[in-house]
Amino acid sequence: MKRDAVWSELHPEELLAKASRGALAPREDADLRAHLARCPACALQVDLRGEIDGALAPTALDYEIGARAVERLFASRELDPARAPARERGPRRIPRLVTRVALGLALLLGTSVAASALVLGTRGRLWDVADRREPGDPVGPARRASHARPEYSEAKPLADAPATPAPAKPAPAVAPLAPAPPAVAPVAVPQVTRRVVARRELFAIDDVSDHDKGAAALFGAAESARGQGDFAEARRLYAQLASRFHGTREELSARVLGGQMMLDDLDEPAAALRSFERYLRDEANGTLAEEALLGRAQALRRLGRANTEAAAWSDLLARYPRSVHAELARERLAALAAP
Amino acid sequence: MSSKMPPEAMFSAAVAPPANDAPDPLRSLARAAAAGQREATVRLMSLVAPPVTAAIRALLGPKHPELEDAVQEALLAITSALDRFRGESSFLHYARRIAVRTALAQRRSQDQGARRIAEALAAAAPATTNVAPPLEREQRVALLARLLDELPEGQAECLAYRVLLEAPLPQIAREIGVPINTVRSRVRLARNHLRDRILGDPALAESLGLDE
Repeated sequence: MKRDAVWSELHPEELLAKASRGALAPREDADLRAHLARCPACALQVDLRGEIDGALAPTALDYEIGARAVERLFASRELDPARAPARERGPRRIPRLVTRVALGLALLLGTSVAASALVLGTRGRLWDVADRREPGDPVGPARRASHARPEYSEAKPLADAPATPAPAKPAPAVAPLAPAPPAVAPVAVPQVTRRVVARRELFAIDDVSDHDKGAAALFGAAESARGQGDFAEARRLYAQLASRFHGTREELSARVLGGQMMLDDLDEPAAALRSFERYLRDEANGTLAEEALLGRAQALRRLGRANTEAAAWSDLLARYPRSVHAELARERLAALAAP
Repeated sequence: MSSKMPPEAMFSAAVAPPANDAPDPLRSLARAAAAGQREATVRLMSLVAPPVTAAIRALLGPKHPELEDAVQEALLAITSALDRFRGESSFLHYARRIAVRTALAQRRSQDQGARRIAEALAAAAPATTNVAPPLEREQRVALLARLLDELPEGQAECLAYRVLLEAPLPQIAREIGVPINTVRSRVRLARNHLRDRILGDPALAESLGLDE
């Protein structure tokens, strides 16, 4: 890692996102490589990607701990609002008979189905325990429905997580029931992998309607459509964003992202140019101004407007001399100046 | 999701994301749980518990003494947040996000003195070689988690969602309820810190396998 490199304060989030989708164009791939060679923080993300996939894949130990946690959660009636919060009590341990039986089954069979049984096989037991109510202390849907929901929301800021409860005993050492997911070699060149595609799907917003959704939801839906290669739908959603939420942060960002899509994916440099210029007109110093300047120059190049293109590259260099795109800008300026 | 769905299929549906055009297999179960159906809640928690545990284990480490409690805290938080799930992401992602948040909070609540002692002991350990060998997968992820500890909470949270869950910036902004430019700024500052931290510590760079 070169320590004397000139740093750009920008990190190419869009390129990193496209890399994880395996959707980098060759030029973008080169840009990202250049950045990764200088920025260990972004390189770490790319390098760890396969490892994080593996680290987030449940192991046999996760099945056991998870099943035990569910058991404790429901058996200790922490869902009951009449009870003290969990943080005020020590964890209540439940006999692990069923867990051990399922664990034995999994060991015998050594299959993922058996591992599943480790979790799902406890279901009846969990309900049995949960249904063992004390007199005058019902734990039922009505009670739980009235339970205060204090902290987590999909759309609102998350409050601090609950305080740490009393120390628990260390998790028992359990030999893995199934082989851990194979470690994926560090990824030097962004590639599409099944896991990455799966994760993209995991994050996909698949039920955003056109109505009664805010700018953020519409923007997210457009990005999701773009990420999945449905450019027509993405264009429609971007247009809707522009008409319904003009001037919002999402709509302004969409001018740049939509411009990139029109330039790279739809081969419409004229439309892309208009989109970039609309952003620069309203957000000359916006957070995406550098990307917009880059897009404008690239669109002009594609349109064959050499003089204006040179001015656009010069503008980019003047405003962002340490841009990750500076080398490209200088190359283009040199080429344009050549007889 | 039908309640007659075989358990194995239910489990597979939970741990494997849906196909490209398929609906979130946990959504209807989550709605039933949010409506107060106890069996649905238990089943839902049973299905998401393993991936939730995996996410917390990745950040705390498999031998963390409070791993089990953190998992339980996360499941409790997920249960408490059922009626706020609006289906804008998969339920599994929703659960994992809460798990990551819980794990980060757990790390920050650790006894600072104990952490300093452990770090001092590790630093005082005689080096067997001048070059630190690259770490194994779990160790590298754990090292990333320790680096997240050095960041302000908001930055750590945004970077964790970005790196661990590969969540796009707009989604992070939506989920934590701040403008997208705030998220962009937090991620940028967090990356800058990590970059400077790694560049300033060649041994760390070597351990992370980033020394070329």
